[in-house]
Amino acid sequence: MTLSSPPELVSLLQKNDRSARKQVFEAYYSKLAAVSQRYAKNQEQAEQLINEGLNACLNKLQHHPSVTDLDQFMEKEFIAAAVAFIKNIRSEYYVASTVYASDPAPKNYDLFANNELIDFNQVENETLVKALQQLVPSQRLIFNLHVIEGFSLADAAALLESSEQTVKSNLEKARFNLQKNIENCLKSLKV
Amino acid sequence: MSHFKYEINERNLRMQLKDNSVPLNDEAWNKFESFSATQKNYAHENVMKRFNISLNRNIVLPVVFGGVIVLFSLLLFNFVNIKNPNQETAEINTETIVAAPATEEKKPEIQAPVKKQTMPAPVTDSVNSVVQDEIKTEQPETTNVLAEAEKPVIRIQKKTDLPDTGTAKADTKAELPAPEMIINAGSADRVNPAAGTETPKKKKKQKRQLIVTEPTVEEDEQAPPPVSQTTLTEEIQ
Repeated sequence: MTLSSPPELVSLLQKNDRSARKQVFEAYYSKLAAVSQRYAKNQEQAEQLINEGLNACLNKLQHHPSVTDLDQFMEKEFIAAAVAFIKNIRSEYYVASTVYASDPAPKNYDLFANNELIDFNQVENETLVKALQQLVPSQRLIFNLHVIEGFSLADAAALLESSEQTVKSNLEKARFNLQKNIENCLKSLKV
Repeated sequence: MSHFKYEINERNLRMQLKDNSVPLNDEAWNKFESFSATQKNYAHENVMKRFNISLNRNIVLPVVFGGVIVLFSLLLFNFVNIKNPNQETAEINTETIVAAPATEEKKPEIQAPVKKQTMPAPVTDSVNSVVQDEIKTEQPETTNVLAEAEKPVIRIQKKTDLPDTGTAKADTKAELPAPEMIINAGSADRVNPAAGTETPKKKKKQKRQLIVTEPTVEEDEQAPPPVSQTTLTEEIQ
C-alpha cells in the first residue's frame, strides 16, 4: 500500500477523510504499537496509549501542512503523547522507587545458584519488554527516552519537567532494576 | 561500594527494541475508530473547557505569593492605626466640652411639659370660680390699694403687665380679649379662665409673686384666706 505524499495526506485529513486516516494508521501502527508497549506498564495500557497517541498525531498533522518527513514527525509526536499519557496517570507516576535493599535471604542457600552466567545480549524481545514494563513509570520513561530514543539527559529532563539530577538518578535506578527484572524473568521462565 | 555490575549492552538493546514491531489487525483499527469518534465528540463539547493559558510556574508562583503578601499587608494596614492615641483623646475632650452647654440649655424645656401634665385641670376651674367671686365683691377697693399702697392681694393684670416670654406670647395671642388673673397668695397661680392651660415658665413667676406680695393685717381681715394648690387638691380628693 503506497502512502500519499504528506501535503496530500494533510489536505485529506483536514477534510476528515476516513481513508486517509486509515492509511496513516496502517502505515504506522506496527512501529508505534511496539513503542507504546515499551512505555506502558502492561498490554491493556499499551492499547490505550496507541489509540490516544495515534489520535493525537493525526490531529497535529492536520494543523501542520508543511510537514516533509512524516516518519520523523509521527515518531516525535507519538513519544511526546506517550510521555504525557504516562505522566497524566499521577497515581502511578508519582510513586516512590520500589528498590528493596534487604530481601529476606533463605537460610539454606546454594553458593553456586546465583553464579549462573546470563548473556543479556541474547535475551528475547518479549522478555526485554516485560522487564521494561515492570519498571516504575519515572524510571521507565527516562530509560526509554535516553537509552532507546537517544535523547540527551537535558532534553529528557525538559520533556519530563524535572531536574537533570533527578533524571540521572532515575536512570541509574532504571538500569539496576532492569537487569534485576531480566534476571527474574529468565528465572521464572526456567521454572 | 556496591557490587552491582551492569552487564546490559545498551546499544544492542536499543537496536533490538527499535526493530521490534506488532502485527496489524482489523480489531485494532476498529478500536481506534471508535476511540477517535468519542474523542471528537468530547473535543467539540469541551472547546472552552480546554482553554489553557501556558504560563511558566516560575512566573505564576511568585506573582501569586506576591499578591497574597500585598493583600495581607493591606488587611493589616486597615486594622492598625498609626495616629498618636493621646491626640485622639484630646480631640474627644474638646468635642465633649463644646457639646455640653447645648445639652444644659435644653433640659428645662424638656422638663416643663412634664410638670404641666401633673397639674390637675379641675383645680384650676375651682380656683377660677373662687377667685372670680372674690373679684366681683372687692374689685373697686383692690384697684385703689394697688395704686396707692402697692400691697396687692388679688390683682387683675392685663396681658401687657405680664413679662415678655416667647411661650407666653404664643399662648396669649389666641386669647387676647380674656384677661389673666393671678392669685397673690402663698401659692398664687396664674390662671387662664378660658382653657385652664399653663405655660412651662409658670414656676418662675410664682416665686416672684410670692416674694412681692405679703398681706397686711388689715387686708387679711377683709380678704379671704389665701388658696393654696395643695389645700385645693386635698379638698378635691
